[in-house]
Amino acid sequence: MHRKMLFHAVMAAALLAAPKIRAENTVLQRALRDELARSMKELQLEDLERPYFISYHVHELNSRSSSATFGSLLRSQKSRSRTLTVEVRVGDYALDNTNFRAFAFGGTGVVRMRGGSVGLTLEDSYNELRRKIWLATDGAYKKALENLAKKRAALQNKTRTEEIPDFSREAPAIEADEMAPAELDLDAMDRRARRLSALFREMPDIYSSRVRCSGSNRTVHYINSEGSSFIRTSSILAFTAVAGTQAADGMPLQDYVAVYARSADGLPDDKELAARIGALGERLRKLRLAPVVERFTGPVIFSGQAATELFNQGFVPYLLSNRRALTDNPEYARFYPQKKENPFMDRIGVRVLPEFLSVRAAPLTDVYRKHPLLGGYRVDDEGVPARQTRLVSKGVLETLLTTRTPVRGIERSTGSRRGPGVGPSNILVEQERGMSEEQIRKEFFKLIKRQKKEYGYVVTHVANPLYTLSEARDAYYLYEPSDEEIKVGNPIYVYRIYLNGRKELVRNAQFAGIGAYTFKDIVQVSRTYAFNTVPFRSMDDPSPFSGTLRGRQVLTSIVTPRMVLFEDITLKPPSGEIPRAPVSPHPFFGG
Amino acid sequence: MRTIPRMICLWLFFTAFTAAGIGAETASPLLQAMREEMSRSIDLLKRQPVPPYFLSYEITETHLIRVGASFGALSYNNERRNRMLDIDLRVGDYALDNTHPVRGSLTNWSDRFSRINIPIEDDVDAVRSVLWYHTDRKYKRALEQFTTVKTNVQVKVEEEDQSDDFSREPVEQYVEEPAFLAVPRDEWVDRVKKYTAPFAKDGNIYDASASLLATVSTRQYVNSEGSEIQTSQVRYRLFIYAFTKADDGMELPRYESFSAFSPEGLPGDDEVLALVDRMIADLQALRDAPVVAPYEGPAILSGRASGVLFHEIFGHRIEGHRQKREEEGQTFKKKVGERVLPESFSVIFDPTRKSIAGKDLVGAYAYDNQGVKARSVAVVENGIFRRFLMSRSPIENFPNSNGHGRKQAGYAPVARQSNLVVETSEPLSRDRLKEMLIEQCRNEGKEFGLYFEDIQGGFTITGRTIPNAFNVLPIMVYRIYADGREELVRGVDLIGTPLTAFSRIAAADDRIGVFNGTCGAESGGVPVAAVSPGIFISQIEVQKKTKSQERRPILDAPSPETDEEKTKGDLL
Repeated sequence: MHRKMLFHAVMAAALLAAPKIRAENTVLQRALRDELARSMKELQLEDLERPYFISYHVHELNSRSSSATFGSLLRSQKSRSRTLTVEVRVGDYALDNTNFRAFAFGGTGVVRMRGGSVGLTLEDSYNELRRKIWLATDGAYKKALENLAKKRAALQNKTRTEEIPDFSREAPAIEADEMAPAELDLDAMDRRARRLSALFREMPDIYSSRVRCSGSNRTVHYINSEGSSFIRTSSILAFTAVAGTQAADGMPLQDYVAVYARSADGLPDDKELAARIGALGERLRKLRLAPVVERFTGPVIFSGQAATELFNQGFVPYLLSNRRALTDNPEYARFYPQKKENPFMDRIGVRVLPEFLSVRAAPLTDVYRKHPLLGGYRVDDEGVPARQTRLVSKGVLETLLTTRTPVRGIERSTGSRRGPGVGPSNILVEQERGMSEEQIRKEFFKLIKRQKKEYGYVVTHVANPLYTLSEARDAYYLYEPSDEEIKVGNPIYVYRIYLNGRKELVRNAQFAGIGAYTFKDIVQVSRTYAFNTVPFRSMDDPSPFSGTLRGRQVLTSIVTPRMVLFEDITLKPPSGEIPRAPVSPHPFFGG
Repeated sequence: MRTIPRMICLWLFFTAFTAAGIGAETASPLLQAMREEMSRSIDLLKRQPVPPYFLSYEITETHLIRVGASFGALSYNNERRNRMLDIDLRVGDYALDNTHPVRGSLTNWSDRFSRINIPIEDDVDAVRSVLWYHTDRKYKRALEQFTTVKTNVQVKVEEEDQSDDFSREPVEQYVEEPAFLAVPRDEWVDRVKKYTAPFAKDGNIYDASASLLATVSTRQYVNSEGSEIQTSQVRYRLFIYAFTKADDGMELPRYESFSAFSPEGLPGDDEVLALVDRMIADLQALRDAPVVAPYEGPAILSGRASGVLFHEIFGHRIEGHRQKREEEGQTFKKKVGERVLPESFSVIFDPTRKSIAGKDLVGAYAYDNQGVKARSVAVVENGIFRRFLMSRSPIENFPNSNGHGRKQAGYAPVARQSNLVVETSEPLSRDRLKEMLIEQCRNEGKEFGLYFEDIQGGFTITGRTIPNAFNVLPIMVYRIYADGREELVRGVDLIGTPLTAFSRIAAADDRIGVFNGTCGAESGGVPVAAVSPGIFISQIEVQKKTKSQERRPILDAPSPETDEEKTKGDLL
């Protein structure tokens, strides 16, 4: 890892105390600092309140992306952008303009801002940067005043049952979290995407496929009026391949390969990737011929990728705090879908996993059991230094991951602000007294026998909805109601294991009833571990008018026991309409 | 709201293009792949119980280069190339097919809009595998739609317009060589920076940007009737925008744009910089200009303003498909053969016309998006309304297309405008129009009339559920007093209902204005032009503009950094 920590100074300084160390003095940083100082000193509308907190967050993105199908490029693109997000708070830490949703259309400010963000020029022109920062601050301040007034009005008619502060107090910190930028070679990505997507020309069982190579270097500059600031650079290289087909009865089948690294040479070479794509094709080919799953409730082992995705999709979301915002008009609440309150908020101190499992967030750990972890960072997006957080100890929930937005029972930030909202870093699910994989199989058979069944199931791959062949962009006129239960993607590969050891692949299985409390009933886990890195979409306000609907993708690495045994998981075949198989054969493969 | 109001707009996204020179007629590998996969699909699908009777593929390749700056600093500099596929697959027959509107249900947008990427390289196998995959999906969807259509036709009352769903048109063969972009990007970067730097002089101008855009759009079309078309269009555009705010919060924008078929067709630095100075002066004048109260009375519209007015109040209402949709207003449906304008006026839609009065017309094309050859369509002849703009969706008494089936890549085509040209056989001088205006004011006892010099665009609603009105958004408006004095004013939109506004058009002058823009409607954004002389209208109505409630910034603009300040601050 090329990460190095340059400075880490924690000070109990007053507002804008000048630290006596040399700070980076780029044009951008000077512009941010100067406008911040001026705004804190002078920004006031008539006799209304002045801001008590201002922060600037500048996200610079330099990315390359190449995608191909069947050996031919679909897209090859470079992109550069620089975005400023301004946060202005009026009121005080206990009660300010945030955690409140007012019904309002359109952007705010004299410059058009979407969700508090505005594009900056790519060039470092001090005067132009300051102009944009000035106007964005002005807009954010006026909006903050308006929201605070509306919020106070809304509170007059309500009895607040709980007094949770709006903003946590954190010690100011100056951080630098930098790594060497990755080399982003679009031509090389093009060649690789072409070459590897051409492998599907040898796979007559695949109907549609796409390969994507991408890379990005990001720099975040942050400064706030409490004296915190940081620069963080990070790089991500990614390779994904998605393939889809249909079984003879028309049921759709899809699978993927995804790998991530911090630098181009951290990715597997073409030979290794070709082997993975070959394996993907072979799995799908076998799957097409497999019988459809039958409805089943009983012993199931999640193994490898399936174990990590089960935790990633089914458990980790419950470890993220959320706070339901107050609304000025409940009539409009349907325009502002909010997540249900996380049921784990009431379970701190209560058992949520078996006592042989513990979970921690480890943003400072870059290597774990010789495997690189890619979800790490030194400082979060609110300038709070990252630290390890014990989330579950011997099965008992200790805390949730939080940002500087306190929630019931958790007043301080765990340094988990990633992009617009709270997000996981590296999540380590660790076992004590785990069994060998052989012992797990024995336990599995014991359970099958006890339940007087002939077989149980092993799930080896679970779908992740982020990997799909669908080309539909997030439709602008639709937004997902987020008031739904957290759902785990469908299993892709499921094996029926008979008592005599016979193994039979089945297809198109779906989970039923996996929820927050399923995990408490894990019977046993292996002492071996599985590793996975997946994108996480950090979301803030899912209001369709706020412009931050899409959130920002960050990486999270997850480590779990390689085998996880459950006593009763329900698997079922798909219901509803099933598409027909293609009417005509593939033009390349004929038939 | 149950129905989505059909609002159609002419925005100020100016563009221009030209048909590239016709070269050697070599069908590209792409066209060949499309042809082969189409005939294979048709052959195989023939064996199905409900086979398609029509299939077309259109691949639109877009290559664009875009650079932009804000107040002298570079904002973006990018390039994009993509290919999108559109499939029109129809089951049933020309009389009744799966595209027939289903009454009593909301439009299914996924049937009107799709985004299918096709490889940007001419690999026949890769292209064909994508064509195959999406043809299969489209066919299955068409079967579903057709079942719904047949039931809907049976259970609902008889439709007023019993026309077929699809017209029969001649087979066309046409291949143009693909055009290429040659853009000196570094030079462009310097230009947009240079054009936006002067705006920084005025601390009250809050946004100022310039962009240079070059696009090649190459379309390849094949259909199962035997048509094969390849066209390639290049366009260059320079666009400058700045805005300020009045003390009352009103946002005051100024736009300038230039469209051309070649980079040389865009204005040079001296011309642009003079214009930038003019824009700055206009914005300063607008800030101090008085706000006009709602008003009705006589007005003169410049050629550009008149072009937009015609586009909104008339153009959108003579788009053929609107005459048979039961939820549409159908203002002109029963007016064929009737007088709608003074005898001296004619209105022509002419996509074959590439320029007028030295200005390029962006609504020009050789073939429409349904493979129908472009042609000039005289809609109003000597004041008499004659015909509609037609796609391949026939309407009563108009069974055929006249080459106006248009769309943006990814959308399903409908009848759309091209180059709208208003002509007069009795051009008067601008001074004469002014005299007429003053005379009218005197007769009606009005203190002043209005002159609309520049507009940013407009929109109109053609449906039945919401009043059928139009709105033209002016930028530079003057009061013309009885003594001939002119005064800049702000804060009004030109509004009205179509037939009333049309009936008040009285005379035209000899100053031809050209408005190039992008028109947005249900088939996406398409480039259009509107050309008109200045006109005198005996009565118009203006309403207050929607006004921003946002105040001007609290603090003054930050003062520019001096050289001395640049070096200090290394030590905090």
